[in-house]
Amino acid sequence: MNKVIYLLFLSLFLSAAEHAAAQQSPKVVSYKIDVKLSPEKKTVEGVETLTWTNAGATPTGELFFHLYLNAFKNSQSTFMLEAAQRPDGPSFYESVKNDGWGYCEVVSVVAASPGNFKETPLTPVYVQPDDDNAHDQTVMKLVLPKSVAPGESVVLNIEFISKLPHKGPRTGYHQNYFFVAQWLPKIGVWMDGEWNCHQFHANSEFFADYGEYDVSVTVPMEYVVGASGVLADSTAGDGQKTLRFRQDNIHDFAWTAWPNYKTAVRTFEHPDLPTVKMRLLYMPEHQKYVDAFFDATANTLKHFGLWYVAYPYPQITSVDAVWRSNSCGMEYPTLFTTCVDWLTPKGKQQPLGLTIHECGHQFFYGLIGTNEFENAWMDEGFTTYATSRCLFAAYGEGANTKIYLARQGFGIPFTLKNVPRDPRDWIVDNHRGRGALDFMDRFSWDYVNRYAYRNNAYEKPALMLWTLENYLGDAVFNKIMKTYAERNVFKHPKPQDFIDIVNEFAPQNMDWFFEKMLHQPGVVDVAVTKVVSTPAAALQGYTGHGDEMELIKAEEKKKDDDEVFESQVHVRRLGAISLPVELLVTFENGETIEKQWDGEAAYKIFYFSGK
Amino acid sequence: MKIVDAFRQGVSLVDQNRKAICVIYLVNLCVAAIFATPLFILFHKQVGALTVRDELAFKFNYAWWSSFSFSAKGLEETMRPTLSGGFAPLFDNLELLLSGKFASFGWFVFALGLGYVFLAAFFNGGAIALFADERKTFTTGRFFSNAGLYFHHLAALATTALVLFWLFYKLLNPAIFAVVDGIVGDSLSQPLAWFVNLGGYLILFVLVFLITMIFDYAKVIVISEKKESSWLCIWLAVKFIFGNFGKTVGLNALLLLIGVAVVLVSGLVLTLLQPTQIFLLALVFLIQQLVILAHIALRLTFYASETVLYQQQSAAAAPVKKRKR
Ligand SMILES: [Zn+2]
Repeated sequence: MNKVIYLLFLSLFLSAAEHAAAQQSPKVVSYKIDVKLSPEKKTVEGVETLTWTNAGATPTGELFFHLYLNAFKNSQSTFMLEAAQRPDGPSFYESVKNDGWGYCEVVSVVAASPGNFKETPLTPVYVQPDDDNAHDQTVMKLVLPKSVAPGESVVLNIEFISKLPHKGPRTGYHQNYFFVAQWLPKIGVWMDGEWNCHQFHANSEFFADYGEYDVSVTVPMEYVVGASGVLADSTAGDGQKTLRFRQDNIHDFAWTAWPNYKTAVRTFEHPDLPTVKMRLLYMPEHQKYVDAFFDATANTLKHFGLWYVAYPYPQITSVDAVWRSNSCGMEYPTLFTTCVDWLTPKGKQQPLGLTIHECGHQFFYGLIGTNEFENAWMDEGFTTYATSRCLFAAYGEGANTKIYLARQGFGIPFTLKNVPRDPRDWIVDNHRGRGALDFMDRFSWDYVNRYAYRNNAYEKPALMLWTLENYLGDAVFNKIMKTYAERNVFKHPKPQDFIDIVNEFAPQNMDWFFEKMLHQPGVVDVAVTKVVSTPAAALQGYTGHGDEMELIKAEEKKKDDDEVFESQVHVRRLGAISLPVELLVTFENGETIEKQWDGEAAYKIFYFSGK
Repeated sequence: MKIVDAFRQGVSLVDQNRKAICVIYLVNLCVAAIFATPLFILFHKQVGALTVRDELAFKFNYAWWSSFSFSAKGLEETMRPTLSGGFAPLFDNLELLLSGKFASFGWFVFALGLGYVFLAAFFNGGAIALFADERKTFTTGRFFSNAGLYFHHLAALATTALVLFWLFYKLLNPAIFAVVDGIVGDSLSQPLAWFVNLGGYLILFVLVFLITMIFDYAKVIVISEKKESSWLCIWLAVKFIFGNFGKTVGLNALLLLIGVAVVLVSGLVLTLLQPTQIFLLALVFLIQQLVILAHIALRLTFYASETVLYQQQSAAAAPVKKRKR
């Protein structure tokens, strides 16, 4: 009894934020990494000690690793073959050609499992679980001398050299700028009795288990470094410095180094949320956007924190990625990249929108670790939806800016003052043309093309959540989103987990909605195609019967104020997906009538009659 | 002859032929009405029964436009947010001029634009002939008969200019930006790249200015000198411009500046004037008509001043030949 009262008190005094902060992820991985950056060779070289614990229900005798950088090893990798089909494919080839290719070379691996097997050298084998492309080396398999049972651990000592690609997508170098992401041999996820370790695809992001990262990077003295986690230690000597960053409960680690970065630090504070140190690394020419970068980050921590779940880490690092480096607009745990056009006019929601989106991924990706390979919409779609919500809550309508004479590095921005835009307009615009290309519930690389991937990862799911919000109402939907976030911190939820929560709170079962949204290509589009309103034809012909039968002739029709009008509203479903819609009809006398339509038929005529 | 004198005499020539402005304006209005009517019917069909109708009269509705433009064809493609006024149309035109993306509003609109080039060629013939004529008085009959008389020359010049501009956009524009990218293609600094790109556009702008000027003088010469070959007149125009470089460039730069001033003032007025009531809407329409009139008057002032400058300079350079005539 006492215990119950104590717990009750505890939950009264502990805010939701502290709950989240106190929460710990299952420590599946523990990386201790020591690497050195060679700016001349464009390499990161060192040793990784990984302790991996089998958190699954079955034993495994094999370990699967991602070697993401091998996507840039040559033109025959699955990534590059797929990228060639992308609209921006040629620019990838242009940037890596000659010596711009990248790779992740595993030099040696030694494994030991305490109480199970002693230190044993292992030989990496490249495997291709997705497409049998023998040229693809983005997944490495290690065969262990003995199986590792659930709960048991294995310690691996991996020596590796990562050569960064020139202006690679998300990761790479541009002159003396380095953005180091997807750079280490990274273990896959052992779940449901198999390795979830996909190859690196052109239209795909990532998936990994939670744990601890302890990373020491050695760089030339003049380099400014930003990284996931918190700076724990730093030493210097010989023209070099070594910086040690640490963080628990994360599933990836990225860092950046550039001599010209400027840095700034501010603190995020809110009475209902934990305090967070915000560190910004930015291009010197973007000094005037520093306030905007911080403001957008703080607004994200605030709104996402209050709406969904509190940001539990002590620090967030935002990086204003170097212009044209290809690393702008990407999320990593506790670090994200954003950027801004040097000439962005006042009032334009840049860099706000992008900063909120990438910072927003700290929640839908960072804290809620969905599988980006298989359910891209669960991180990108949720983040796109929440970004527009946050943008609107924090900044209202955006300026409508057109960039004239736009070309790489140039443009004359001009704001159309008379045409304000909702921050969600672009979502509808893009979806309109791309919505019919494919359906949502597919693996990222299975979509018919890049536009279908973009649509089904970003626009369509954002619209789906927005529609659901309108359909269920704010109160119910906010509860759904908050519950989904709180229940899945440091977990790997799947689509059904979200649907189950929707069904738990919605007044009706919503499976029909998700069936249409997730498995049907097409858009929701309903048009009013015709409106007619004419005076009602007067009664003509015989009325009554027997002796009382009377003939009413056409010319006897009276003209008076009581004239009745008959109106029709024709509604047509233009999109393949049918959803219930509301029709609001306003009459000339100001009277309004609201009608519901299930939207199923291709065409529907609504009839009204009145004075 | 001083630039200012050429300009002043040009203005007085246009003033003497005020009726030409009205004639051109009226024809413009008729042509516009021919195309605006189906557009109006179409809009009426689209939004006549929707609540967005009332809003659209005063304010551009982006959400509606986004849906409308998705399936827009032909003339409908000209409907775009920048039409909401202020300075945006100025930027639209500047972009078209420097990028040459004239087909970006669809081929129908492009063809319409081409048609307008030849309609303008017809009017230009009538106007320049009036300015070159010593009697310098306007009669509608003379205006149209001159327009018809010189149409084949001016149409040939317009065609040549179109071909030249096509080559300009197809070859010169990419060549200039290949050089720009060679300089700043790998730069880490956007401000540096921005200014080098601006330099590229400035070169393009100067070239457009020169080409337009050459064809202006070619038109003036073919009519003033009653030459048989319009192509020869392009060469004569080049010779004349470079022979009197300071004056010719100075005059056109002055006229251009006046044009920019007109656009800026009208842009500012239209930006500040946000119509909220029907009479304000009518006022905006009226101002827009004034801007069109000013545009026509200015274009005529270009031709009139150029004609004055050409006639005075060539008379000064070759007095013997002139007396013989
Ligand atoms: Zn994203």
